[in-house]
Amino acid sequence: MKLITPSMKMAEVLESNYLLLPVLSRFGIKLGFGEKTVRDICIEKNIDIPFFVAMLNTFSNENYFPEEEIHTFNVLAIVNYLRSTHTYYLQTLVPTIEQLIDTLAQSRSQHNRSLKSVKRYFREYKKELIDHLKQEDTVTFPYIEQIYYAYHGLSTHQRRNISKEYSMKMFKREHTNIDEKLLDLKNILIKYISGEYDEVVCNAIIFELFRLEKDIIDHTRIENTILLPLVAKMEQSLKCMKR
Amino acid sequence: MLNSITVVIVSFNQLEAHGLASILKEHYSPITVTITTVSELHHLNRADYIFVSATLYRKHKTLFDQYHKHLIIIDDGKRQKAIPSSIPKLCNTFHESEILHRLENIFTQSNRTFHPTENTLTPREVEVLKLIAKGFLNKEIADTLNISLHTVISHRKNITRKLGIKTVAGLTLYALMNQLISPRDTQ
Repeated sequence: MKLITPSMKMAEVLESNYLLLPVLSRFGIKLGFGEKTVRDICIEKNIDIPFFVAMLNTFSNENYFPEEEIHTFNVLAIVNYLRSTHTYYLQTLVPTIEQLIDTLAQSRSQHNRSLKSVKRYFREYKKELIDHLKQEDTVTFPYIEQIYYAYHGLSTHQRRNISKEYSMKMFKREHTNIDEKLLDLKNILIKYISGEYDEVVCNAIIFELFRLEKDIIDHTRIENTILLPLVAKMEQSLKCMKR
Repeated sequence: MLNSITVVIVSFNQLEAHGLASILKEHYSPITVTITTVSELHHLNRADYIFVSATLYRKHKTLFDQYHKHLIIIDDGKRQKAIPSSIPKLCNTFHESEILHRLENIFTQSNRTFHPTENTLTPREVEVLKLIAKGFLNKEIADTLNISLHTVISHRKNITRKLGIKTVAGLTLYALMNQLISPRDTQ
C-alpha cells in the first residue's frame, strides 16, 4: 500500500483504505473533507502532522515504522490516542459484536447449541479485554503521564511522586496478548461452524472480528514499538538525574 | 465438524474385513467403517472409499464399476484376471507396515483431496483435547492417560497446529461445538 503523506487529500486517504475512518474519529476529525489535504485538516484541528501521518501509516501497513519521526512524538499524544482506541473498542466495536452474537445465538437456530457456547466465549473474552484495558487506563497510562511531567517539569516534588512499584519493564512483562482469543474465535467460526445458523448475522460477526483484531494488533504494536521505547528512555534519564 | 472419512468394506471374509477395519480405525481416525455384504448397497453412495474383495468385485463388476473412483480391491495376490489395473489393490497377505504404506498411497493419490494424516486429529489427540477442554493441566492429562508430560506437550503442539487454535479457551469452544464435551464439563 502507498504511503500516506501530508499533501494527500484526506478524501483520497480514505478512498485508499476505508478502515481508517475510525482512526480519523479518534483524532476528532469529522467527514466533509472537501478538497482539503491531510496537512490542512491537521492545522485546522491543531493535530501534530508527523504523528497523525505515522498513525495512519502504522494502521495501514503493518511493516511501517516511523523511524525518523518517532523521537519527535509527544508521549501524551500517543497515550491520548490509545485511550481513544479503548473507548472505541468498549463503546462501539465490542457492543456491536456482542449484539450480533446474541442475535446469532437466539435466531432460527435455537437448537444449535454450539452457538450458545460462542456467546459464552465472547462474554468471557470481553471481560478479559475490559480488565486488560482498565489496567492500562488506571495504571500504565497514569504512570506514563507522571514520567512525562517529571521529565519535562523536572520538579523534584513531581519526581518523588512517581510510583516505585511500576515501571515499563513490568509493563513489558505483564503485557499479554489480547488478540489470540479473538483470532481463535474468528478461525473457529470460519472453519468449524456447522448446523443451521443465520448467515447474514454470522458474516457480519466475522467482518467485525476482523476489524477488531486488526485494530487491537495495531494498538499493541503502537504500545510495544513506539510508546514503550520512548517512555523507557525517559525513565532512564530520570534515574540518571536522581544520582 | 471433524473431517471424518467414510469407508465401506464389502467382503464375506469376516477376519479380513474386521482386520482391515481395525487398522483403519487405529490410523485414520476419525473414520466411519461399515462392513457389509452386497445386500446393503445404500452404504456405497456415501462412502469415500470402498474396499471390496476380489471375488465379490468380479461377481458384481457392473455394480462396483459405477464407483470405480472410490474402489480398492482386496485380493490374495493371485487372481488378477478381470480386475482393471487402474483400481488400487490391497493384498491381504501383506504385513501391517506394507498395508499402511499402501493405504497412505491410496489416500494421498486418490482424486479426492482428502489427506487424513494432515489435519485430522488422531484418537489420542482427541482424548488429550477433551481433557484440555475440561480444564485439566498438562500434568493431570499425563497422569490420566498414563503418558509422559513430554508426550502431552507434543500432542498439544500437534492439536494446535492441526486445528489452527492457540488458546485453551479456543480449544474448549472447538470441543463444545463438535460435542466432544458437554457444557457441563466446563463448569
